[in-house]
This record gives sequence, C-alpha cells and structure tokens, in this order.
Amino acid sequence: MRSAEERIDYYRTAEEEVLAAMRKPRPVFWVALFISASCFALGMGLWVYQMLKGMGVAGINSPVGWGVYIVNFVFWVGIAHSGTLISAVLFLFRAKFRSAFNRSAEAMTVFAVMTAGLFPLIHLGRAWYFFWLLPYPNQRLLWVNFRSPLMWDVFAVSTYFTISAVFFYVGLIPDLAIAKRFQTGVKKKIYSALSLGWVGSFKQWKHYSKLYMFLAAFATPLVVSVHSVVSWDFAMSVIPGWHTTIFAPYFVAGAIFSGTAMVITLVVPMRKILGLYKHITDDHFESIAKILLFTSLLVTYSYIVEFALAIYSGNVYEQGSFLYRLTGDYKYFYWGMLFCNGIVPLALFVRKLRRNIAFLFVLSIFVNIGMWLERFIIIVTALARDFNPYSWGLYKPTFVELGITLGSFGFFFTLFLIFTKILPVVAVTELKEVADE
Amino acid sequence: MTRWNANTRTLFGAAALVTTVVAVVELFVRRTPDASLLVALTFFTMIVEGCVALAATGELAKGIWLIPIKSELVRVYPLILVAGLLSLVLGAKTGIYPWSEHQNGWLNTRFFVVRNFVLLLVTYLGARKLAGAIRVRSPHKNRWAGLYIGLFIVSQSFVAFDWIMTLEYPWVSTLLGGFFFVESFLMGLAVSAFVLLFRMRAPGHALTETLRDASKMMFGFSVMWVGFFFAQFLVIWYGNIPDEVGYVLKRVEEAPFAGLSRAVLFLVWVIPFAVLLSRPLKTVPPAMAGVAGLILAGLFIEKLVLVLPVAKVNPGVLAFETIVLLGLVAFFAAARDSVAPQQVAGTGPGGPPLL
Amino acid sequence: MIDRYSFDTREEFLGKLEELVESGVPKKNINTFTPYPVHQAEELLDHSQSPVRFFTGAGAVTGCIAGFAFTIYTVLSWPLVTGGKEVVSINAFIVIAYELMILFGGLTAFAGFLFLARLPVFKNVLSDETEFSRQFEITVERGNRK
Repeated sequence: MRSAEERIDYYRTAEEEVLAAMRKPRPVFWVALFISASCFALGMGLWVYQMLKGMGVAGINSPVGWGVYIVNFVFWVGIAHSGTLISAVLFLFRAKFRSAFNRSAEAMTVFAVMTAGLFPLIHLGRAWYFFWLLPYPNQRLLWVNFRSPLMWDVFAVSTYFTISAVFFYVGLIPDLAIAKRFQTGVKKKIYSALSLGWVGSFKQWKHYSKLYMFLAAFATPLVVSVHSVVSWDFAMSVIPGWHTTIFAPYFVAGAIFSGTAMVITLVVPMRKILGLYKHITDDHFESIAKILLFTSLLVTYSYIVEFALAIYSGNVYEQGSFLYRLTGDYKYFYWGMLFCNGIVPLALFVRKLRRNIAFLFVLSIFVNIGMWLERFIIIVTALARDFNPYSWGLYKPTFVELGITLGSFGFFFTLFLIFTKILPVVAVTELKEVADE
Repeated sequence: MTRWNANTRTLFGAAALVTTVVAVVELFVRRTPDASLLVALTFFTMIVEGCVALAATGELAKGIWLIPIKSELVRVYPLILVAGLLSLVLGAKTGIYPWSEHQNGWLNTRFFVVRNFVLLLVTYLGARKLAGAIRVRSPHKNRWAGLYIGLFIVSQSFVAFDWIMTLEYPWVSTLLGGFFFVESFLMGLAVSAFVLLFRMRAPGHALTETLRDASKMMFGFSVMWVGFFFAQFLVIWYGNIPDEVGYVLKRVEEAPFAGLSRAVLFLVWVIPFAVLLSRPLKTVPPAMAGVAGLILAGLFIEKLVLVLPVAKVNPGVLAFETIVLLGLVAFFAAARDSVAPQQVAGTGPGGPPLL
Repeated sequence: MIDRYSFDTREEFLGKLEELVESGVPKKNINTFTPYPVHQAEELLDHSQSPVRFFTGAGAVTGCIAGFAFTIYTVLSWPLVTGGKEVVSINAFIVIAYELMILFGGLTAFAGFLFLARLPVFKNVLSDETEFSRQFEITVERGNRK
C-alpha cells in the first residue's frame, strides 16, 4: 500500500510518462512509419492492379475459390478478438493486470477489424459492387439472402466494428481530457472537443461506470458470436474438413490465441521504445503468457479431436481430408502449424520462460505465423480435395495475393504507429484507479 | 443443516455401500442390458468432476470468490473413483451399443471398459493430489490444478465421445466433448448454489458476495451452454446431410423428444437467463438454489434425450440409481468435520483426511 | 456561493464527504470531481441505479425484434427457397437478430449515457478553464439559507 505522497506523485508521473509518448517522434518512429506505409502503398497498388487486370492475377481458381484473401480476413478478425477479450472480458472478471494493455488492445481491435474488412472487398474483385452485400431491396425488390453465412458475416463484423469503436472511444474520454492538459493551441481544442468537456463530476462518473459495464457485458458475447459466425462461413458447408460442429469454439479459442500473440508482438517493442517499464511490468506479461498457454491448449485439443473423430467415423471423405492435410501437398504448412501452435507454446509451462520477455516476443511471432498457416490449411486443403477426385486441384498464391497480405500488415502497423502518437497508449485513468487499491 | 461428524470411515462406508448396491442391481437384478446405468452414471460423473474442476479453476485463476466453498467442492473427489468402479459395471451393459455386434479395434468391449476405467482412475488420482495440495495449502497446488483440468477435459471428452456418441455410431459431432465439459462445469456451479444455500442458513455467514459471484458465473455458463448447443444444432441443421441430420431430427422434431428438448432449453437457459438477470435475486439463496435445481433437472433430461431414442431405460432403476448417487454427492459435500462453520472464509481446513 | 474542497488522496476526500453528509448538507447540493470513479462516494451520495440500463434494455429488445421482423418481412415479401431451408428459417435469423440486438443495445446505451451525463459540455469544450483534475474535489452549493 503506497503512502499518500507516493500516490500523488504516481498520478503525475503516470500521466507525464504515458503522455510523453505523444510528443515529437524520434527517428525510429519515422523509419517504422515509412516501412509500414510503404508496405501499405504496395498493397494498395497491387489491389488497383488486380482491379484493372482482373481476378486472374490472383491464384484463386476452381476448385480453390477461397484463398489467401479469405485467410487474411479470418486472420485479422481473429487478431481483433483478443483486444476485446483483454478489454471487456478481463474487466468483467476484475483482472487488474489488464489496465497495462487494454488501451493498446482496444486500438488493435479497431485497426484489425478495419484491416479485416478490406479483404471481402479485395476478394470480391468488383469491389465497387460491395453495396450489394448491404440489406436493401434492389431494383427488382429482391432483398439479400439472410440465410447465407456470408450475410451473417456482414452483420457480425459491422456490429463488431461499431461496438469496438464505441468501446474504444468511451474508454478514451477521460484520458483525452488528461491529454488536453498537455497540449496547446489547435491540438488542445481538438482534444477538448473529443473529450466532450469531461470533468469527472459525480454524475458523469456514475453513468460512465454503468455504460462501461454494459459495453463490456455486450462486447463479451459479441466477441464469441463474431468469430463463431466467421467459422460458420465454413462449417455451414458440407465438405469434409469444413463441416464440423467444433468450429465455433475452436475458432474463438484460436482467435484469442492469435490476438494475444499480436498484443505481445506490439506491446513489447512499444514498451521499450516509449520507456513504459514502470507501467507495463513483467508480471503483466506473465499473466498474458498464461492466457496464451491456455488458448494454445484449447486449439491443440481441437486439432486432436477433429483428427481423431475423422478417423473414428469411418467416413472415407473425412479420413481422406485429414490424411491429405497430414501427408499431402500442403503437409509442411500443416506440420508448421502444429509445431508453432501446439508444440512451441508448451514452453510456457516453465515459469522462467513466461517471464522472459525476449522469449515471449519470439514465441508470439511463431504463433502469429502458425495461426496464419492454420487458416490457410483449413481453407485451402478442404477446397483442394473434397468429394470428387476429378475436381481436385492445387492452389498457389501469386505475388499479387502475397503483396496484398504484406500491404494489410502495413495498413495495420501504420494505423497503430499513428495511434501511439496521437492517443495515450496506456489507460492512465485506470492506472490511477488500480494504483489506489 | 445438521453438522455430520464425518470421518473417513463413514464416508468410505457410504461410498462403498452405494457402489455395491448399484453394481448388484445392475449385474444381478437387472440383467438385460439397458441404459439406466449409463444415464445415471454419466450424470453422476459430470457433476462430481465438475465440482472439482470448479475448485481447480478457482485455484488457477485466483478466483477469490470461490475460497469459502472450495473445500466442499473438492471434498467430492473420491466419488470419481466410484464413477470409475461403476464404469466397469457398464462393461456388462455394452449390449446397448450398436457396435457391440460388429466390434473393431477401437470399439470393442474390453478396450472400451479398460480405457474408461483407467481414465477415471487417473482423474481420481489427479483430483486426490489436488485436494491434498489445497488442504495443506501447498505452493505447488497450481500445478495439480492445471493437471486436473487437463484430465477433466480428456475424461469428459471420453464420457461424451465414448459413452454417449458411440450409441449413435457412426454419427460424429466434434463439439460433443466440449459441450459435455461446459455442462459439467455448469453442474459444478449449480452444486455451489446448493452448498451456499445450506451454508447461508447459519447467521453471520458473510457469503452474500460469494453467492452473487456464483450466480453471475451460473448466468455466464448457462449462456455459454446455449451457445454451444446452438453451434452444434445450427451446423447440423444447415448442412442437412442425410447421414447426420437424422440423429438431430429424431431428438428435436419427433414426439416425445421434441417436447423434452424444448423443456431442456427452458430449464437450462431460458428460465435461468430471465431469473439471473435480476440484481436483487442474485443474493437470495433459495432463488439461486431453485435456478440451480432447474438447471440440474434440465441437464438430466438432456441426457435422457441423448440416450432414449436409441436405448431403453427402466424408469424405476434409473430413478433409484440417480437418487442414490446424487445423495452420495450431497452427503460428501455436506459432510463437515468437527470444526465450527464460523471459520473465517479462506482458512477452511479442507475436511478430514479422505481416501 | 460555492464552497470548494480539494484533496490529494481518496481517503481525505471520503472523510470530508462523510463529514458533510452527516452534518446534514443536502446531498443534491454536493458535487464531486474525481480522477476516477469512487464507489464509496456513490454509496454516500446517491444509491440509485443509473438509468442507463433502461436505454440499454430498450435498445437490445428493439434490436432483437427488429432483427426478426426485418428478416421475416423481407423473406415473406419475396419467398425464395435457398439451400432447401424453409422460407422463414428462424435458426438462421437468430444470428441476425442476435447481432442487431447487441448493436442497438450498445448504441442506445452510449446515447443514454451522453444524455444522462449531459455530455458534451460545450462550455468546457470552448473554454480552457475547467479541467479534469488530478485531485479529488468536493463542491458544495450553499444557497440563500441561514
């Protein structure tokens, strides 16, 4: 329990240290921004190229009509989910360690959903017809097909974006009011406007606390439902490897797994560059590492159950599909996926490794790669070989698809870098609240 | 609630008696293979493992709210051994399974019995280690808690895939294992509500916040249950694959199971959702125990809906076995040693040395 | 006439607040400004639950009903059987209704919050004087009374 002087001092230094990050950026920031913006520009350029030349420049064809674009869509939606987990779910469980990460996690959620939202458009080809996805009656008074999982996706992902953005903004309001104190001139006016004139009065806090709780309570089932709906894009089909009931919780666990890894990937360098060691400690990272371990075990369980039950069922097509994953054209990706997602995270059972930040960072990269491979395996192998051997085929992603994938990472990191400069990266108000308990 | 002066011998005696009686009934009195033992044993195993799983999760997640009732929850662990012993008796009943006539390398009576018994035995040993670690407040208890959760997940998955899913061989639902361990956890929470109902009759109990937290968890898991239920149902309904959809249609569209399925939904989700939304009701022990009772009833009926379309059940034997096994759970959970119940929350001794 | 008290710690703040409440100052004349929500202050000054929950509930129910109504209306206005499902396929529509329930519930909760907390406070936005303070403050409005 800190003394009164220590606490008063903590408030001031917490504010200053966190908001110092918003001052004039150092060269390393500009270099990072340049790299990610270039990747983004490359991706955009390739998208324009695809729109001009046609979808043939991408590798998707019959039978694999869903390729890297859909892999990326699922990947980025998955990344978004753990942001909401850390923010909303850990809030409901009153886990105090969340306050070091939750701002960055919420920002990650919003940016990841935006990135994910690009991919259905890219995959559409004729992206200018995207509005056909929205529920309106066309000129023949024909509405969209609400029975289609792709339509459920439209509703789920838009709801997720809206609610995440609102949740992110609501959490920011008190911190924007603090940020206002450190600005001058036009910037001060902007922060003032964004903070809605917040002063932390009794009535404001009373209703705010309730709102925050409701948003967290809504965001939790939303997170589960969104990735379940995304998984149902596949599970609602009838092909082996896709049609299986475990997809919904399997995808949700996988999403939290990959998203938690991305949080580590982002926060470790951010902490170092912005010097926030006092507020984001090794204990915080250990707690996050435990979540990583737990979700890794859930994902491994799903791998085992799917494979075992496919063999058990005696169904020739299911057995064929899973044996193809293990021994077929994409076997290196499959083994890579098992290694990165199932084997390497087992090291987190060792406490020393959970607290080794460098190890966690490297592990998080492995997990990000492994989870991308997992989406690739699920989507591509099931399409490459389904029921009829005559229609079997291979899929090779082209430079356009891979370039756009790189561009999506560029987009995400550009947004995140800009965020670190214009908004407080740690929830200062919550830090104060936690410090006083 | 009278305080039993429990000691090892009474509890051991009760467990041995119940095991022997059920085994005798199943092996000698009711010789024709029916599914009464299967349903009763499945339900029993899920409740018992769920209680210990709840305690283990509380350890791992440092759930402060669980501390006052942890000893009652962990105390039922010897019943996992009872479940294991009764699973041997299940070997005599494998006639209810369609694979019993065309046995293969995985699905044959001997392997079926041995693997399930061994799994339950290992789970029992893990639970025993955990109970011991909790009682002496060992610094390594997290390790045992983690191990138990792993064993719990595997063992519940086998209850789902081996005991229940093979009734409809070769039908497969990969989510059934997950569904069962969520149900088991929910049953553990329901038992907590009963434990709290009894503990809160004593004055000066300081357990209101514990009950509020248990109610919130019950709410959350009831919603999670319906989510898993819907995930399973939606995939099978949408795919409409003839091989698969028949198994669901049998249970959801045809009478009498259609009505029973609807009842299950009401008892496990609709009513608990409506009741647990209310803030004041969350701290009223009889209301929470009532909701818990409905949840348990609903989950029991769900086992019947899973089993009855395929195998016959003798209502009398089923009722007898269920009551006797549930009674055993209650007996173990309620048994306290001579230490006064006014012990400060969090310093409970964990009970007498058990098996 | 407004009395202001400023404190650097929560304990001093709560002590003074209790003192004021016990000395009979009407609660509606007391306002607090804190760097984070202090729950004990809420208990002292105003037990009542925030009405945000009504906005949320209304929004959620509307969203759920709208989800079913919209999907059922559109599918009946041009009945097309797709995928062999019945025309009014409730199982599929549950997903849409669920998402809309959460969307509307969240948005109305936010709107309700803005309305109840009387945000944005344009006076504060335009002027630079009022600030979100680091200290715990109490203001008491003393009207024309003896």
